[in-house]
Amino acid sequence: MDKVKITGVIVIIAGVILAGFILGDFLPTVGDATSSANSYLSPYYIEHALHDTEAPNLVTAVLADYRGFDTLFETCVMFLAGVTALMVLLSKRKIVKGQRNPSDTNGISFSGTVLDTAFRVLIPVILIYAFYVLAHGEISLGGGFQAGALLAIAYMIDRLIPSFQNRLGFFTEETAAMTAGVGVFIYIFTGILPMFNGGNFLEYGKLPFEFAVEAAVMLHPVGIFLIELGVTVCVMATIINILEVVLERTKFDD
Amino acid sequence: MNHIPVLIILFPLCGAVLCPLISFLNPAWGKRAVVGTLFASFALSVIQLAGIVQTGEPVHYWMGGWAPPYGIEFVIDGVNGIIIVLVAFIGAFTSLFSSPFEEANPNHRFKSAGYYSILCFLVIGLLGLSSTGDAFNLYVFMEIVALSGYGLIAIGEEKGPIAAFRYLLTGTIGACMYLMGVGFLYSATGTLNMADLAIKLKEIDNTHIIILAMACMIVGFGIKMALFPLHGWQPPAHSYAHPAADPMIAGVMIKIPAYGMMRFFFCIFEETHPAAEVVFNIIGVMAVCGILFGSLKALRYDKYNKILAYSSIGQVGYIALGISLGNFYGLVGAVLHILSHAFMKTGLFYTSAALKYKFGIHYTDELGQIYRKMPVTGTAMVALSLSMIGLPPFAGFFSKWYLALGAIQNGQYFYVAVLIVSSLLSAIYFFRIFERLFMGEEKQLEDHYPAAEHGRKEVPLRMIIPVVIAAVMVVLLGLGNTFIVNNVLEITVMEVFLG
Repeated sequence: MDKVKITGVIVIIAGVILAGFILGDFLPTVGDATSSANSYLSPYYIEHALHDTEAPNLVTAVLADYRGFDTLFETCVMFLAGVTALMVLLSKRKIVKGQRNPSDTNGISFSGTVLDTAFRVLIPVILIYAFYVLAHGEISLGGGFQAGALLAIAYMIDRLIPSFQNRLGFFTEETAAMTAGVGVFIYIFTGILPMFNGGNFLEYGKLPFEFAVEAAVMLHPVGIFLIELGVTVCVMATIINILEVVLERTKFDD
Repeated sequence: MNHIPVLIILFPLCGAVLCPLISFLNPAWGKRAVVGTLFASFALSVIQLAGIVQTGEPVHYWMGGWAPPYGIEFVIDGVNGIIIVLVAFIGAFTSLFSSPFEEANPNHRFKSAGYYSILCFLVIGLLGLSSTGDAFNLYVFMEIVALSGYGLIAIGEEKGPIAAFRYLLTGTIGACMYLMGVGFLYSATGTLNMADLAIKLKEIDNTHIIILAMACMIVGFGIKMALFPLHGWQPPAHSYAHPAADPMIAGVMIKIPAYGMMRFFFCIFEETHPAAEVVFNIIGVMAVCGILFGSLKALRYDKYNKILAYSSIGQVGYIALGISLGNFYGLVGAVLHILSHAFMKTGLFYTSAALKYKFGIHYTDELGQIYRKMPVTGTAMVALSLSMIGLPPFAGFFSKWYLALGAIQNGQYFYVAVLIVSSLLSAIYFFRIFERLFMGEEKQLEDHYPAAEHGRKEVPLRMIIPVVIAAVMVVLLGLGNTFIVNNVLEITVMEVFLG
C-alpha cells in the first residue's frame, strides 16, 4: 500500500469533516452575543468580576480566582514535566564535568563580542521586565507563567554564553526540580491559609491578613499575587531543570 | 471536617511537591512523606464514605468559595465515594510496595524522590478525576494522570520509553477528543459544571451537537480506558512500565476513565435521548469485541505481564458492557467490576513485580515450582487468578453475575453467551499459568533477595503485605458483595445514574 493513497484518504476524510462543520452550523459564530456560550456564564463574569475579585482584568479574574483550582494543577503539570524529564534522562550517562562547557573542548562556542556586549545589557532588562510582569499580573494580561519564562530566559542566556562563566549558576538539575516543587507549594499554601480562617480552599477573601486591608475583597489581589509568585518560581525552575538535564547530557560537537 | 473532599487531594499533593526537597535534606524521609500522606488520604476517604453512607446526601465542596457554575466544585456521592476509597487504598499500598524497588540511595538522592513524586501525582490525578464535578477540571486531572503515567512507563524496563511514547501519542489524541467534546457541550450550553450541564442539555434542541459530543467522549474515554479498537497503547505500556508502579497503572488507571464515561452518559446526557440508544449499542459492540479479542490474544503470549495486559482489555470490556446495558443490574455490575477488577489486577501485578524482584522472572516458563520458594506470592497468585476466571466465592464471579442478570433483564442473551465464552477462555490462559506453576520443572534462578542474608524466605514484608491484602480484599468483596450492593450501591446507583 503506498503512502500517497493513505494520505489521500486522510485528506478526504478531514475535508469531509471540515465541510460538515462549516455546512452543519453546529458551532456558534464568533462574537455572537446571543449564543448560549456567551449568554450564560460570560455576562456574570463581566458584571461581577471586578466587584468580586478586585482584578481589573477579566482573564486574570477567571484564571486565578474563579478557576484557580484548575491553574493549580496546570502548575503541577509543569512541575511534573520537569521531574519526568529528569527521571527519564537520569539513566543516561552524564558528560564529565570540565568537558561540559563546549568552548573548553572543541572550540565551538556561542561567545563573541556582539553576543557578550548585547546580552550583558539585555539580562538586567529582562529581569526587570520579568518582575514587572509578575507584580503587574492581576492588572494586565500575563502574570506567573510569563514572568517565570522570562526569568528562565535570563538564566539561560547566562548559562549558555561561556564568557559569562555562569555567574548566576546556583541551579543544578536536582535543585531546580526542588525549587519547582517549592513553587507549587507556595501556591498550595496560599490556598490552605484561608482554611484556618474559616474559608474554603483557595478562598482569598478569607486570607488571614485582614489587618492589612480595609475590605475583605482587597485580599483577592494579595491572594492572586501570592499564587502568581508560586507559578513564577515553578515555571522558572522547571525550564531551568529541563535545560540543565539536557545540557548535562548533550555534546555540542555533533 | 467539611474540608475532607479537598484534603484527600491536598495531603498527597503536599507530599508529592515537597518530596524532592525533603529527600535532598534527608534521603529516607522523602519517601516516608509520600507514603504517610497517601495513607492519611486513605483514612480520610474512608471517613468521608462513612459520612456519605450515614447521611445519604452527596457532599459538595466549592473551591475558593465560588458557587457553581461560576467556580469549580467537588461532588462526592455514594458511587464515587467508593471509587475514591479504592484509589486511595491501592495508591497507599502501592507506595508501600514500591519502597524495596526504590531504596533511598545517598548518591542518587533524586532517583527515589522523583519516582515517588510521579507515583503520588498519579494517585492525585485519579482521586481528582473521580471527585470533580466540573467537566474542564476533569480534563486537567486527566492530563495529570496521563503525564505521570508516561513518566512511570518511560522509567520502566528497557522497552519502556518506546511504550511511553506510543501511549503519549495515543493518550494525547484521547485527551484532545475529550476536550473537543467538552468544547461542543460548552458551545451548546455555556457551562462546564456537570450538574448544570445535565439541566441545560435537557432544554436545547440542537441534537447534532450532542451526538458529536457523545462521539468525542466515547473516543476520548475509550482511549484512556483501552476499550477494544482504541487499546493499541495498552499492552506494551502495561508490560514495560516500572514494575512497582505497574499495579497502579494496570489496576486503577484504566478504570477511572470508565467511571468518567458512566458519569457522562448517565448523569449528563439523558439516557432517554434518541441518540443514546445507538451510542449504547456502539459501546456494547466495542465491549463484546474487546472481551473476545483480549481473551483470545492473552492465549498467545508466554510473558506474564502481556497475558495480564491483554486480559485487562477483556475486563475493561465487561465494564463497558455494563454501561451499554444501562439498566440497574448492568450498572451495579459495572461498578462492582471496577472494584473487583482493580483489586484482582493490582494483586496480580503485585505478584508479577514480586517475582521480578526476587528472581527476575518475566516469562511463565520460568515459573516452575515457584510456589515452594515463594509460598505467599504463589497462593495469592492462585486466588487472584481464580477470581479473574470468575469462580465463586471470589469477587470476579459476582460482578459477572450482576452483568449477566442485567443482560437477561434486557433480553440480550448474546451478551450472556459472550460472558460465558470469555470466562472459559480466561480459564484456559490462567490454567496454562497454573500448569507451569505446579507441574513445570524447577528452574535454577538467581536469587536477588537471598533468604540467608535477610532471614526471610519470601520478598520483604513491605511487599508481602500489599500482596496479601489484595488477595484478602478479593475474597472479602466476593463474600460481602450483597452487603455492598444492598447498603451502598442499590440506593446510590438508582439515585445517581438512573434518577
